[in-house]
Amino acid sequence: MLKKILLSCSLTIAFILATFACSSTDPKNPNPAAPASTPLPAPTKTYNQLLPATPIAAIIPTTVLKEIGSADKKGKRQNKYFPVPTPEPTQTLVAEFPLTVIDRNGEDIVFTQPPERIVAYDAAAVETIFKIGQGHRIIGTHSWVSYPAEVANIEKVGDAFNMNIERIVALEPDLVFLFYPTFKEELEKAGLKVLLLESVDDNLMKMANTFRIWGQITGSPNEAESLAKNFENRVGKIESVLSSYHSGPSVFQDVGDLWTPGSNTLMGNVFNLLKLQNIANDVDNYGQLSPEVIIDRNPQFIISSNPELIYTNPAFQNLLPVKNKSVFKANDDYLGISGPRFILGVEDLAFEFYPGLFK
Amino acid sequence: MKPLESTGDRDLLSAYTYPWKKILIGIFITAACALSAVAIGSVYIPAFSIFSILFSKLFFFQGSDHLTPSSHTIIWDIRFPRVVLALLVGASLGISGATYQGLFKNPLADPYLIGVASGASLGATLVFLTGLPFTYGYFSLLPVASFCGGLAAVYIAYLISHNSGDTQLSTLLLAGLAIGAFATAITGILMLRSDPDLRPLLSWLMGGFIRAQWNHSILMIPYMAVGTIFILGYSRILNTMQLEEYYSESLGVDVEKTKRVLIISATLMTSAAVSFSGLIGFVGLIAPHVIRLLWGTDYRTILPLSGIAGAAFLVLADLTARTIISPVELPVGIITALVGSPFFVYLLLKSKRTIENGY
Amino acid sequence: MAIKIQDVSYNYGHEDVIKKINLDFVPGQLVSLVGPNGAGKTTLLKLISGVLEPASGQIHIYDQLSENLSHKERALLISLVPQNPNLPLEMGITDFIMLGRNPHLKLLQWESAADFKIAQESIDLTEIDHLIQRKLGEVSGGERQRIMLALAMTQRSPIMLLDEPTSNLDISHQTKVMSLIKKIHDQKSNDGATILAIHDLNIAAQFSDRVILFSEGIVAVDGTPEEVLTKNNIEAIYGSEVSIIPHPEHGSPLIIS
Repeated sequence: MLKKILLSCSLTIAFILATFACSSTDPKNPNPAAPASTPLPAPTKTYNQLLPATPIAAIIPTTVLKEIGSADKKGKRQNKYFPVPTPEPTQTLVAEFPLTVIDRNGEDIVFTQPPERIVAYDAAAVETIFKIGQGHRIIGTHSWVSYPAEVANIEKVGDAFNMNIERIVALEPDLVFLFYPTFKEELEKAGLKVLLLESVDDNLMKMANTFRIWGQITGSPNEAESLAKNFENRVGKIESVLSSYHSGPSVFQDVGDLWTPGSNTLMGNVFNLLKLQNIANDVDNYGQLSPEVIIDRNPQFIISSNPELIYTNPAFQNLLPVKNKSVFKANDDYLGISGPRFILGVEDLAFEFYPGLFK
Repeated sequence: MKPLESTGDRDLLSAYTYPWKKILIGIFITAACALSAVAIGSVYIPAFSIFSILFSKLFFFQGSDHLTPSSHTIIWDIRFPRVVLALLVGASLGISGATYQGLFKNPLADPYLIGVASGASLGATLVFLTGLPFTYGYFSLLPVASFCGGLAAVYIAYLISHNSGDTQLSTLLLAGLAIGAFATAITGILMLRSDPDLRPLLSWLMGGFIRAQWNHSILMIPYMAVGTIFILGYSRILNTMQLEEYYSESLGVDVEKTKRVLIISATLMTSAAVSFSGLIGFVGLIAPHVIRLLWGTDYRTILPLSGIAGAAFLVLADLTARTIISPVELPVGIITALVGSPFFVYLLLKSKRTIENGY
Repeated sequence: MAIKIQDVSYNYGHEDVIKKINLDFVPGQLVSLVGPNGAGKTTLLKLISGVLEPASGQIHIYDQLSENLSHKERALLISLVPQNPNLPLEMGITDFIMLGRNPHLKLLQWESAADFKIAQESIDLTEIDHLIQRKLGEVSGGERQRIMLALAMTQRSPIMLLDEPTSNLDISHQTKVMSLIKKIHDQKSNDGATILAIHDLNIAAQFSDRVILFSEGIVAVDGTPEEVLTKNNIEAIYGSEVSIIPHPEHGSPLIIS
């Protein structure tokens, strides 16, 4: 039993981006693994339909920021974007309170002022809040959060499996942010204000929105807006450089023991952006791919957090990236956390796989 | 002694012969399962190729030129080592399970119920977490560490039962359960306090053959061979051990020595299995019981045939695990548990009925 | 001397159950150990069979010090029929009886045709050949006793110890089993000895060559049934009035309470 609990918890943590995925793809009808010559289904459309080109803001008194891909009360996942008014991008934004954020369960969380004492139980949220200059508001996080360096001075109130609720209560936070629901009820019973947002898992562009939500909550919408803009511009740049390409090389990502992201994951989304053909496109969420399938699908690129294990496996000796000693070591700090640094990881991949195109 | 008067030529008893026929039939069926397991996989490869590769490897001739390198790799570097390792692990679990059942006179005894496997996995976890290299050439630290862990678990359980006044095996069984739970808890604590990336460890603990390589089988064989030789050597004595201890002793059995030899041998085999394939439950429970249902209580039949049945069962379970949701794999422990749990319930009900009937 | 017991004591905790006993068992005799509950007869049997070790004193079996014997050596000299042991109910009766050959076999040796012939003789003598296809869980109490006798016989040890062989049996089975024990004893060579702990004085009187009456851990009276089972002895040790008449058929003492 413990084994199973540990596994499920670890998968939650390890595949932050995957566990709560709302599957945009019908799992019954996944994209078949694309053979090397099949063109990709024009990925750019997907983003443009889903997201506004312009950010959220210019909000009239009670702002409703609906988190993208939020779930209804039964927990059934929807995947629609809640449209919001479009501001002028150059306009100076003003934080407006009271502010209503709709959480993962579709409940309204109302902020009358920016929270001063945040327990942010999520690496991406901590990074984002620091990035927009509001890191002083964070008083607690979990023990695996290590970036930015200032985090060292922030109290750790648990790890991925356990949360020291008593300690959290003693810290008297005015907001506890969670990315998984396990301890939500206990915390609320303790009288704490809890915000549970869904992890960005299937659509890269949602990340910008999360930045903006944090900007609104912490009362620094301009910093958040520029962070989001920066993100969107950099994604847009990759998009435009690759726009003339129909389909790129095939790729396999090993996140450990041949677990690999499928098409309806954040990484799957990154591969689409980079026009890489994920050999695990027919995998739902994350799955452990059969080694023989990897050999059969013969990826041109391999991304792994531990290339040594790929190099030393006798079965993989004939794969091109193994022969060339070119298995790409992914930076888990970037691609593992859907925060401000994520785009760096995406750009690393772009540099690696299209060396001539990106400088 | 005076010669006894013979009552005639009635020959009610005939001398034991080694169950060669059953063993040969068993090996034949297991070989058929193994070949099917090599022939079937996520990637289609014609059955002819399998024989072509097998014969070319066995007789060192170049017969497989017409094969693509990838199907050669899939057959020879992925499926064959995997099936062979599953055979060895299944046989080890089957034989050690039968031994524990015989020794503890408990049909529900299984390496997993008496703490051996938990102790072994604790030992292996320690190796994992210290980051020591697992293998030095053909010497592997992992089975040694798991053996120490497994043996320590049994030994502590043995000491507890010894100090409680007697070495009744039922006490030993209960103590084993407690030690097993304790070892599992320690493993959990170690994992929680360790580096965030637990995927390899958890994936390994879940059990499976996805990382199987030829040298794993080579490393496994000595442990298995030593254990098997001792256990099969003691198989007739194990029949006598089915009586109460003083009764066995009055029949000339050195009960303490027999227990020592058999526990160490069975623990050695279990530990080797655990260290190469993680925790795979129920094989050691099911295999001996099927044999018992078919061919009675003589351990000279039960022990070798349990090994064969365990091997066949595990190969088929692994085949199912890697093909049922192809291209993604399931942990093989899930398959063995799916088959094993109902079987376990059946055994429980059966033993309850036996007690109620006054036997 | 088959068995020589010198100054043997044994205690459970602080309670001395055997107090410095000296006894000799000569070959060829069928000996009954009798006495009230707790007098020490079963304990003495366990001491001889090696289940228990004496707290002090020495036991010699055929002039060999008992504690120096290995389990195997002892099993070749002594076979034991315990009282109501837990038996593996799923075990076949043939397999069970064949366990008696264990002390004669080496580690990797299997039973030969000769071993089966010996088991066959035990089965014939105990008249259980109709049972051998069954399992131990499928027989009655009397049959079970005969099966255990067959096992002990198959062991072919000169000394046979029996702990209350007739307890839990009805009167017809009691006689059958005792006649069988007598028959097995008579089949043995003159080196052998049969020792039984038994609470039924009439059975002891009828079948034994020698009766040893125990009282509170010491040997109270030792001799032929007629010498030992007297009105005075029994009334003194059991503390209840009895009458004794000669058995109408065997002439052995018959105790009536």
